[in-house]
Amino acid sequence: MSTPDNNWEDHWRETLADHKASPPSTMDWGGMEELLEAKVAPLSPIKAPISSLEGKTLKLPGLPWPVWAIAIALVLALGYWLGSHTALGVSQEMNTIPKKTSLADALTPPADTIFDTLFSVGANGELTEEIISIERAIVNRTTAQKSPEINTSLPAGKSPSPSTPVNLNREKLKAGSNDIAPSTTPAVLLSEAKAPTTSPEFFTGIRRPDTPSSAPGLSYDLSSKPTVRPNRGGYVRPLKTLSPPTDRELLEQRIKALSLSEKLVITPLRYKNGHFPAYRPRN
Amino acid sequence: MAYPADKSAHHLLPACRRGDRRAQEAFYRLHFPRLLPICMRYLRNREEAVGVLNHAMLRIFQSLDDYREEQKLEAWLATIVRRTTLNFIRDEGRARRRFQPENYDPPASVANAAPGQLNAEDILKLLQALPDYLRVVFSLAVIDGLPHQEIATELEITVAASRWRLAKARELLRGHYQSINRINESLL
Repeated sequence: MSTPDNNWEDHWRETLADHKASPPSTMDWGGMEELLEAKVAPLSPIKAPISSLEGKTLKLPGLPWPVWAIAIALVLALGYWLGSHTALGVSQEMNTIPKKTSLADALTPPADTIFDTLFSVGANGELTEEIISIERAIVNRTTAQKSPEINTSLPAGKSPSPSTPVNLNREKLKAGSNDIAPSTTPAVLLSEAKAPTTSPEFFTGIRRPDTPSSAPGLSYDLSSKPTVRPNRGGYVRPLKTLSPPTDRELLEQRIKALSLSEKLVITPLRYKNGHFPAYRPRN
Repeated sequence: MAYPADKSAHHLLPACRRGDRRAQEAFYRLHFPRLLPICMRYLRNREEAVGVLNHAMLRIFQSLDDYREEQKLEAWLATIVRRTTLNFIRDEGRARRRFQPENYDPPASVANAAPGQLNAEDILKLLQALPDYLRVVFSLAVIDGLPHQEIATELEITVAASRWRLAKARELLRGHYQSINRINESLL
């Protein structure tokens, strides 16, 4: 039905039905010619592969029934063997998968994990070797071995001066009753590792008395209390920027770091400081 | 020997079946002006339409053995051209490029703007300015007169989508008409 709304549509249909485009250009026919030359031979309909079987029926070879029975039994046996073999392999793989029951188990290392070994010197000169695990520091063993005393070539009674360079006489080092060589004693190794590389002649700061071997040739008895130097009449704390960290400071720092690293257990916020937070109503 | 331009297509058919290139060229030049507008009302521009028409002509040359003399040659050719064009559009539509919604960018001007007096070139210009997914449905429904069910089958869309696209195309074209009329009235 023609309505005013689609009058223009009828007009369009009639106009386009009578419409003729301009004749093809040479380029248009050139494109057509390329197509014809590319496909000169007419395309024959492609036959499906199954069409070669048209008119034929697929028949199984005519074998006597005992042969079929044996063949079926063989196939079943092979399938059963393959199935059981696969199931056994899967069960073995499942047994090797580690079980992680919870997130806490996954994050917490085993209790016997050795994290570090610490050597500390007690006030009475005892060298204590501590094996620190992430769970808790385990005091493995304490060797009642005194650190070797380091003697200097200075005469007795004369107080050593920090600025006096005196060579360390290692031949006079005495090992304890233990068979550990003095050069491999932890305290010695630690003192050698932490010794300043600067020459004593250029070191102008005041040295802390318990700094081992920072001034070569000086002798300190670790069993005595080193906080008071009688020749100076008191303990003067050196400037931080001029003194290297002592062994004790290093040990304290490491122990502090280890103690901080133990705080791996994530506690809920409401238990912070052992208290529930104050109740604040939401607006 | 060159084939005369006004020679009937039926006389060219035997030579075309044999693969005579000059007969094929004459057949091509004879039917090109009638078949190209079919492609142009579905596609974006003349270059694209010529490319699709060449593929349709290739199918025609390969299928000349299937043509029966009692059929009307013009209708048979138009059917092949339209189906080839729709196949091309459908293949592009599978690539999800052609049927994406686009902005309607109507042509800046047409020769005569009266709604019922547009010539074929202006009609094609307006159609080609439509978004692809609207132009194809409009051409199939309005120019070719296909029902929505058949359009939906051809374009692999739903009937509701076909209806919506036709309504949208009409709305855009009508709005463009009104704007052109307003411009013409102001110029008079």
